[in-house]
Amino acid sequence: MEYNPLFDGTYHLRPWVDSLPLEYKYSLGVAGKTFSEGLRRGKILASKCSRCNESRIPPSIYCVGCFGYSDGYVQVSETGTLYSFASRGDLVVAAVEFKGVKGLLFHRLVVSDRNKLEIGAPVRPVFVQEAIRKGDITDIDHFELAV
Amino acid sequence: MNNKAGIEQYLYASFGPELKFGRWLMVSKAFTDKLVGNIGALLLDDKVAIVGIGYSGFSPATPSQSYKELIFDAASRAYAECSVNPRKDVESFVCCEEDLWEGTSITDEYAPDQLGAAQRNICTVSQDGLNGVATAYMHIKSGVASIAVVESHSKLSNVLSQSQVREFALEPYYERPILSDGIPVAAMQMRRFMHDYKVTEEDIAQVVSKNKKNGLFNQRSSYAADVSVEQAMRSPFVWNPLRRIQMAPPADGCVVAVLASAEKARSMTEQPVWIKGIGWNSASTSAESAISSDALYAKEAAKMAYKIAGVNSPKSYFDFAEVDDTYAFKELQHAEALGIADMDVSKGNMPAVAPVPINMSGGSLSLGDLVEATGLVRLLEAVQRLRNAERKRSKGSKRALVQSWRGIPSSSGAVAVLGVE
Ligand SMILES: [Zn+2]
Repeated sequence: MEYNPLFDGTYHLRPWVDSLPLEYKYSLGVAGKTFSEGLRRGKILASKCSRCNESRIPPSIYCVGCFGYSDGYVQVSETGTLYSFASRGDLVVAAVEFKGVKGLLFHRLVVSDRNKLEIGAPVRPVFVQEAIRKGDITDIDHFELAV
Repeated sequence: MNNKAGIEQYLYASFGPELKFGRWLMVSKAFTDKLVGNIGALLLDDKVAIVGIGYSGFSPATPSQSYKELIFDAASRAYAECSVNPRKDVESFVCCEEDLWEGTSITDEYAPDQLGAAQRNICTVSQDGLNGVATAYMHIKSGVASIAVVESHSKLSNVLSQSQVREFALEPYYERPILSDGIPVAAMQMRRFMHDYKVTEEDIAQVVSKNKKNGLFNQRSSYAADVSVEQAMRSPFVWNPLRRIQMAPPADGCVVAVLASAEKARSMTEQPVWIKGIGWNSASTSAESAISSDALYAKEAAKMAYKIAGVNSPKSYFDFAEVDDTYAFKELQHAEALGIADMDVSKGNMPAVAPVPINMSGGSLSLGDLVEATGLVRLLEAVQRLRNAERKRSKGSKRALVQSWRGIPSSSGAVAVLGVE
């Protein structure tokens, strides 16, 4: 008998499954490299626009606001504030803003007392030991409440 | 040199002393030009209509059909509705799809055949389907095409690596090591929105309950349910403050829309739905716009669409709205950005009844997340409601607002103003 998929209860429901490993390099660029080197020295660097003076993290060589060239870098303040956060079990993820700087930095937040967790709370970065820093965002181990 | 001076110089060179005659000719020409222009504007109806819309799927999974078969199914229905032969009549095809959701790169190369678009004018807009509608609208407005087709679909049930695709959308150096599958972005935005607009857990649970219940009256809903506000508030957290029931679950489906110039539209359908205005916007790639409490992209896209359509007070202009509610709080955020909500921060909460009814279809919370097709789903629901109201001669539904958002971590969206008059 001629094969008719409509009379076959299962075969035509069987999908073909395939996967390919994909790997990329991501060039950090001039601003990214500066930020990365800052992390090694335990600093969070923002870029500063040469035209409108706007500072921004993550840094970029172009100004988001005025499209000016940003070739200056400034260190953000020692403590930032909690713009927002989300939690799952013990894990807290936070968006941190710094005074006078546009933009946000996402990172883990370690808190002993969840009741003190609120938008606007002061937070500071805790860096890993200098010897093991790699210039990655994880050179900051986490942020903690600065209260 | 302006045209008038140019003509005068030409006339002087040609006629010399007989310039007097030339002047008369010029005045006369200006007059006739104006006359022809005015008559032309009366005769030239450059409106764009949706004349056919078809769909397939609308299910959590569609294992018996390939994505191409889903498209063929939806396209055949859309073409049948307005008696269009895609091989001859359609002058522009626009597909909205995204490689990583398809599982194939350069996926636009796989788009033509199942739409009837082989060897014809087709392009892919790697954006939400409503952005595709904007592209087709412009093709018709500019005279490049008089009939254009827009397609978008979701085959999310085939995407075994959904959370990896979402993770892949994050900025690789600063964000990927921190933000898991990107869902914390939505949760953080939700918390900030609730904080800035004094929105309560209950306000958001009300959106969930309303949309899940509305979906019970919609054949296309996969996730409709009779859910009370209290039940919605008991749903477990995915990332606190975001609860599972506040997220649109994945669904498969395809929507195909046929657009036509006014001249063509009237002979193709008795029920054209006019696109009175359309707009789109991307806020910024910056992190603060991804989790901002204001949906700037929706505000700016609406500004553009309202300007074209001549909408001055959206709260009284629209009879209903289909708004992105991929996460329940987004419906409130988008309603505020679109100017159709009475959000009075000083009062401390949201009003129970919005001035414009939102997502009577059940929204994405009932119909599911159809990724790039979501904007076309909102469009489909609006078109069906406008047509049904017209059929029943009910006066209540003549103008609709449709809005889309591209999902986390994006701050991109589009807005369309629809009307049957
Ligand atoms: Zn600047």
